Amino acid sequence: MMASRHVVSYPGARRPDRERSVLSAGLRLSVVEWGPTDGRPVLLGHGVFDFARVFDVFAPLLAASGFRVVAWDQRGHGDSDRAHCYSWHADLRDAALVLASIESPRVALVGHSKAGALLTRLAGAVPHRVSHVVNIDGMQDGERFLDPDGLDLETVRGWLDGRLRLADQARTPATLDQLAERRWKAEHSLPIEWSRYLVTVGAEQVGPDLWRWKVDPAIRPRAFWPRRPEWSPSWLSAVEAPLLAVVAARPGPPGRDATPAGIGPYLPARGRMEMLDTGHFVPFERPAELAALVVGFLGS
Amino acid sequence: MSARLLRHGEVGLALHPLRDVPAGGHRLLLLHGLGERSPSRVPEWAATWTGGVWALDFAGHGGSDIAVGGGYDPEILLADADAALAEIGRAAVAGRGVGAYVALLLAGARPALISGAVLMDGPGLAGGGPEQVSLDMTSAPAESSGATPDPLALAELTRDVRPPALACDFAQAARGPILVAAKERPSWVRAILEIGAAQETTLAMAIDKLEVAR
Repeated sequence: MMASRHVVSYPGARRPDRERSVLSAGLRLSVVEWGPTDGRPVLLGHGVFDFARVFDVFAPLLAASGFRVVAWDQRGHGDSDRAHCYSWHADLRDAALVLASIESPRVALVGHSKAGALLTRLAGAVPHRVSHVVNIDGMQDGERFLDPDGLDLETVRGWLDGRLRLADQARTPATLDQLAERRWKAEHSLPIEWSRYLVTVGAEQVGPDLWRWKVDPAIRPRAFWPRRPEWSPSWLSAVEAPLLAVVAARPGPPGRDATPAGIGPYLPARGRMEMLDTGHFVPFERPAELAALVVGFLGS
Repeated sequence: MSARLLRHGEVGLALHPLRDVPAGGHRLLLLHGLGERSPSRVPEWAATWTGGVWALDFAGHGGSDIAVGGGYDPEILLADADAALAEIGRAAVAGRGVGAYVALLLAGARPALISGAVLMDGPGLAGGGPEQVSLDMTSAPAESSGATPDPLALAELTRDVRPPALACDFAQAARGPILVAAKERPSWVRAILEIGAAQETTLAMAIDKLEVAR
């Protein structure tokens, strides 16, 4: 792998202060940290196909308020090892082990998108380790379940066909600008310079101006989950710690388009909801506003 | 006969040829139970099968590789079995325990390639039941044992959710007969029988029915 010769900066972005790893049954998970080592700990989780360095702007804002921010690359993402099995319970176990690597008795769990749901579920499993939960647009609306009724077997077969071709699969390399353009199409409310920055910290350079996202091509949306859609909002109800549900007001993929009416009934006794006028990528669109909201919540 | 090693994702899977396929013959794929490994010879209950017999070691079991980091679920085992099916071609499938559940999934996912399925008693038949289970995060291991059966597989495949409705969807998609020889009846097995997508049989009769269906 060629060392990156591209140094692309972005306003407010700062490299992590520390890097380490955690083993999950032999699988190495890359962990990065910002902020003082003796600060109040925050475990910060990313969404699907993202990586810990997507928080290069958001995490330093928390760290500036004295928090020790610990973020990890989920298996198959960023600099963590690729795995044979990608499953919800594997991600939960990995998150539990990263949490266990933080020595403080209680840790605030802050997750975006899939990690919002993941850390909310984890909080229900290890309540003795959790001080607060912040779920950033990672909730499934209790009123409008997006999982279709029945099973689409063509999608199942497509997933299986993809598994049979794993040996031949690799993410298509492209120039920095091309990769940035692809990402920008999903996050078009953000400047393209943000996508260019993310390429330099989340992709590997495989040739002269040739880059490839590090995420494992074996990770594909699952065709079928043996899970009922009402389970996801119910995980909110199980949380005993103070919980902040941040809902993105502007609908659109890859968000789940949760609404206050759909989430409200599931908020626990110490839960509250805040709606921000953003799309799904809240930590990247409004990092300062979100950081202020989270810092205020964690300090309350 | 020595095992064939298939590559599936990050693991090598051991696929054992137990009996050669006669010219123009048909095949039977055996899927073992949780914590087990493939038999070393054709089981007695399958002695009357006239075609070739293969047996697959799931990831984390027998001669197959451990999935480093775990994360096992029946859907990954389904993909393991699908890799074996791609190797041997159209076959009947017979599964024990968790292998029975995978046999059902395979029959529904690849109806043109599975001529029939037998579901038998064995470890892991029930899984974690039809509802989500409370999480146990206190025993999360940091290191892998390095030996099969992988303890993570043993733990994770006793806690996976098996909704009866999902089993019914797969059973109804199958083209060949789904034959239940199992005496244990977890909710997913009861469900596929109740909707008429599967039929009860004995193990001895199951092989005869598979011969007819091939």
